Amino acid sequence: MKKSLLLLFPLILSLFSCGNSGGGKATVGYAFDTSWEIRLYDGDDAKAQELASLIVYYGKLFDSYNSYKGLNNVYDLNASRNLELNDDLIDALKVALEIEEECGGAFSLYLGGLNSLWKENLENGVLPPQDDIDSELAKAKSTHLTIDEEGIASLIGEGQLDLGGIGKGIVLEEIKKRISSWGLNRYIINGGTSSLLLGKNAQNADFSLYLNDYRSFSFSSSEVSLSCSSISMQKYEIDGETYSHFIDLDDGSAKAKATMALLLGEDAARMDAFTTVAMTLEKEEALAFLESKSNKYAYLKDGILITSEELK
Amino acid sequence: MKRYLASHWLEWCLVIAIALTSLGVYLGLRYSHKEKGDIALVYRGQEKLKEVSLSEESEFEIEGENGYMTIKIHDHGICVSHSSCPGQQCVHQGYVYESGIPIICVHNKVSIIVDNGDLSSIGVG
Repeated sequence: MKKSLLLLFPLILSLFSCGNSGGGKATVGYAFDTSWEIRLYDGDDAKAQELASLIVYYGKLFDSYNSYKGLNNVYDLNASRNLELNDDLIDALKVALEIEEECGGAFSLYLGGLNSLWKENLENGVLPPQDDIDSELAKAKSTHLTIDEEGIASLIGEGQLDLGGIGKGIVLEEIKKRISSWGLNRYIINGGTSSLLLGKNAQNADFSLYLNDYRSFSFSSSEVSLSCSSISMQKYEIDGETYSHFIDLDDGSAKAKATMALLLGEDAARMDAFTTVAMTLEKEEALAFLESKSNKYAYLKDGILITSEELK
Repeated sequence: MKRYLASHWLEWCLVIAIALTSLGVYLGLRYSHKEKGDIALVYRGQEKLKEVSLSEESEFEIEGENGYMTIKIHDHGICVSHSSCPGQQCVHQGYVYESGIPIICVHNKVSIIVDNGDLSSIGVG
């Protein structure tokens, strides 16, 4: 009987430990113009804070609107055109260049000027003059970045470097390395609901997810990177047309071509770039592009949701 | 076996009673807090401005990076009822009741996150 009583203690302890791990306290960081929610179900507060600090650090590194004392960032590179950068930014830029090449001209790292032009005008309820759009697009298309062996980055041309379409994904890849080195398995890092890194959930199972733009569609997933580009949080209606922050590289237009594009895959940085590209393509082209990048995708246009078989 | 059970029935009743009590306490802790313990965290950039209970109706003002915002708590949900921002997306988002859907005001660098300790479902996009 003593043995059976002893057996009870692990049972009781396991019940209470399950209850605690289900909590998964949220640690919050703010960077890339959005909030980041970090939940490490099998990690501690110190590790979550370390990740929050890492996100803020990369937010400063990729910031194209502000300069920070003692840290050469994208803003400084745009201003000086030729600058020594630290290893973290150099590594990130190398990844960004690789991905730009993989997209075969459908993704540009130099849309800073055009993005600002559209943003400033749309916020005032007007469209930018076509001449200004053409001029900024020409600058973007004629710019490229070189990095020498000593960590000196040079922007050749007049375009402004902007890592907006890829920055959060690059940070998630860095976070993934840390989490992996700590041996954690149960976690979620949620970058403003558009870029997510998923381990297993608190109960060591899949997360249940749904689309904010199409709430009746839900799916389960874990141990994956997820990127979702959507116009919902940044759309503007002018003269009956919808505009957003996704720019067509053919004509420089920010006219919305879809409501949302979603991809699940291994590499968060690539998923980020690929969903951005899909938002700038016509429907059939976008679907073919998404399908070529992952077997788990979703695409929403004119209220009609199309998903891959594997996501259903 | 029968003889063993007959001679130890009292002890076995004790074991089962303890197991059932533990299970009851566990389930009670796990599911009661979801309704009564929900909180919302209000941040300006990295700075936590407030931690508020969603079980008490209230309305308060916070100072964002570029202006003021009014935040309202009603029926276990939280929303931005007024904001100085030009886009007003944070206001249009309406009430949020669950974890996984932050309210974000880019203009004021304010984020509001419901933390009910359980991510039953996560909204993406």
